[in-house]
Amino acid sequence: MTVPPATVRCPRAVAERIRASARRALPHEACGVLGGSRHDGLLVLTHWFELSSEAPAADAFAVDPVAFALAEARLRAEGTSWLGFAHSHPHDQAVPSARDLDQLWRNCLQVVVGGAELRDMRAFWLHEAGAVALHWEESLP
Amino acid sequence: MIVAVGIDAVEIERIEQLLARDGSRFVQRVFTAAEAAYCESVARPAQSFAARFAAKEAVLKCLRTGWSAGTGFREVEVVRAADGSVSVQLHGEAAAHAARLGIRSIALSLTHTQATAMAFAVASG
Repeated sequence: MTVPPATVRCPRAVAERIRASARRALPHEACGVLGGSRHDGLLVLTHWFELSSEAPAADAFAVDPVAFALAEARLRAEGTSWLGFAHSHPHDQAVPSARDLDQLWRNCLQVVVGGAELRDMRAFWLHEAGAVALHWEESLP
Repeated sequence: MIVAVGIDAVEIERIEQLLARDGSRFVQRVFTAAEAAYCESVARPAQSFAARFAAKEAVLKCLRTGWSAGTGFREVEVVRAADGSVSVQLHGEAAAHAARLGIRSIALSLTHTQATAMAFAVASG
């Protein structure tokens, strides 16, 4: 995936699971992988697998590469594709930080959870030149 | 007699990304020294690492267990003969578990396209 999609559609139930992971991880950052399908300019999320962060500090996250590989295998086994990551900013806004821009994987979906009570959730696509904000839709159920 | 079969496919690009970011940590935890030495000797290491990762997953399906159930990645080793053929050597808990299932050998076949590496394992008793 090198061309960014325009829109990310996330069922409300999946979004709430991501928010719940973010709250459980407090005061640390939560992180995990997102799976689903891609349709032209649309990403449809269907799966969220929380991963434990290996970061030494609360205000950072680092994905265990083996845990990531296993999560990706699990997504494939469930007939879906890996689309990207989500992580939380417990004390900041739902936008990529300077460290995120420097360290996060490029050319995949990056969802950030932040803001008041960790309710705000936004989607981005990172390039070498920076982050592109994607349209975020939460759908029922 | 065939006891079980397992198949798996891995996107090579994903392994390339992992190698680029966490290369040594990923390799050390998942692959044996011999597997790593071979993969790092070829023109496109990610392709060979991906095929071996798929092989380990395929063998795990034969063993009907998960990595979290005590079987370590390095206990399932892909061994490459001088003629290029590959076979599976089990160690530790993986070998013990296979013995409990009555598995005496596991035949393995690897293949790949530019994008995907695949492995097919057949466990026999």
